[in-house]
Parts: sequence; structure tokens; C-alpha cells
Amino acid sequence: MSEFAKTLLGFVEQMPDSRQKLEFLEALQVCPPIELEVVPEERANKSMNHLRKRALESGQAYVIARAGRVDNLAHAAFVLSSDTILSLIDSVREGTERKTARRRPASALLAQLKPLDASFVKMRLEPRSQEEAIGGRGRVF
Amino acid sequence: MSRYLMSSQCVFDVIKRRNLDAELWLEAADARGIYADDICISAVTPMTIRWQLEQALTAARAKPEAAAYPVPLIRDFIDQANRFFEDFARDDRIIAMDHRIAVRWGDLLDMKITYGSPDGRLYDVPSATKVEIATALVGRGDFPFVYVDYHQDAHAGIPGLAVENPEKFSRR
Repeated sequence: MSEFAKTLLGFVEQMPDSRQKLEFLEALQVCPPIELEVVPEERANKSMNHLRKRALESGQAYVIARAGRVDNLAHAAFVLSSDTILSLIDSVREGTERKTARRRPASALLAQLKPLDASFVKMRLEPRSQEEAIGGRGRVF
Repeated sequence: MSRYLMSSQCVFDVIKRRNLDAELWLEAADARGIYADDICISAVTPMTIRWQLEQALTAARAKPEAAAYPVPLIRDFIDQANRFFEDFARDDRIIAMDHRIAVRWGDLLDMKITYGSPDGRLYDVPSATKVEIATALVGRGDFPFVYVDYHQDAHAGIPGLAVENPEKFSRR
């Protein structure tokens, strides 16, 4: 388990039993190492420009903590929502930076669709004939 | 946290929004803790569906009196399909073919895979469907997808393919 995951685990274990807790525990099991450094507030105050520059150069994230540690939420300089953390794990796991913190229920995909005419119910996708030999749709580009 | 790849036929049925099994599977997915982010489609799916609808549109324009579907209804279908695809594209959930998928696709091209249509007709699986299956087998980030597709006996003969049949989640 990565250091990041171990750090989060302490908080997650205190969550009430819920679907989200199970999701977290599962995500932490597959979470790869995430380069994230907890920096004391004193150091951040003195060298914020340096930290920002290093973050840009190395892509490493920093959490600025009061008194050098985060032992409760009030001590954190900023707080990530659980959805954002799950998304962060997800994006690192997939090696993509395009992922955003959007966790919509699956059925939300249906929200923008209206029932089409009933005559379409039995319409099926037909295999394309001669697709290998001819291809195209009678118009190319 | 399994990820799912919907087959083109399932996507086609969802877009109709007529309470078909694929749509009911999507509705039931909420209760199973599946999020929209967990559901992807192959890059060939929009092409496959648009081709089908363009064929219908061409037929309806050529012989309106004999067409199974009138032009305005097909246009509605195409518009709705495009909106659905945009939703997937926005969240990076249309899976492009990369070299690993291409290698697996090559393996499948050498396999004879036969599907059956609802009327009992047998046909060889087209290469676009083999791209979908290859995409499900390879997955994303080293995690294969569960392929969401209606039952076909041939699925069992494809090594490593995990399939979920939406008919099993139907409320009917």
C-alpha cells in the first residue's frame, strides 16, 4: 500500500460503514504511489514560490499543514472532498490528467434522452456486408 | 470497482429510451454502486450506430413511401445518438484503439466468431465488433472491462472475456 493510501486509511477507517467507505477501501488497495508531500505551514510561508515552482516542474502535489501535521480537519490548510480524492486515485491509476471529479450515477446518462418512436424498438444493428472489400459509405471524407 | 464497456447494440437500445433491457441495466446500475464514470464505449460504437442510421436515412429519402422509418424520426434518432456520444466524449469515456487493443484485435480477426440474431440467423461477427471485444479484453489502465452485451453462445469461446447480460437485470 502506498504512503498516500496509508495516510488516508486512518481517516477512512473512522468513517461510518457505508457504500462510500467500501469504495474508499477498495480504491486504496489499488492506489499506486502518489507523490504528495505534507509541508509544514512555516516552511510554506517562507518558500511558497519555491514550492510552487517545484510543483510545476515535478508535478508533485503539496499539502500545506499547520504545525507540520494534519491530525484533524481543522488543521488542514485545505480539504479535498472524498469524491475528489477518489477521482485523484482514479486519474493516477489510469495515467490520465483529463479525469475530473465527476461521479454521477450511471442512470444520469439517461437524463438527456427522450423516448423515441416505438417503431424503433425492434431495429437492430446489421452487420456491414462487404465491409472489408469495399468499405466507405459511398462518400469518403 | 469494475468498469463496463457497453456493446454497440446495447448503446443503440439505450438511445431508443424505450425500456429495453440495456436501458433497464443502466437504471439498475445505480443500486449496484456503478457510476457514469465506470461505463465506457468503444471508439467504433459511434461509427457503427451512425452507419446504421445513415443507411435508414438514405433508404427513407430514396423511397419515402416504402421506408420502414420516416426521415424526421430517423433525424431525431441521429440527434439523440449524437448527444449521447458527446456525453461519453466529454468525460473521456470513448476508448480509442491503441497498440495493445490492436494486437488483441489481430488475434480475434483470426478467430471465427459466430453470433445469432433474434430471428435465428447466424452470422460472422464483423470486425468492428471484434474491436469492441478487444477493447473490453484489454481495458484501461491494466484493468479489463466487463463487456455488457446480450447473450451470445460465442462469448464463452473468447478467452478472458467477462460478459454481463443486461437481460438478467431486466425488471420484467
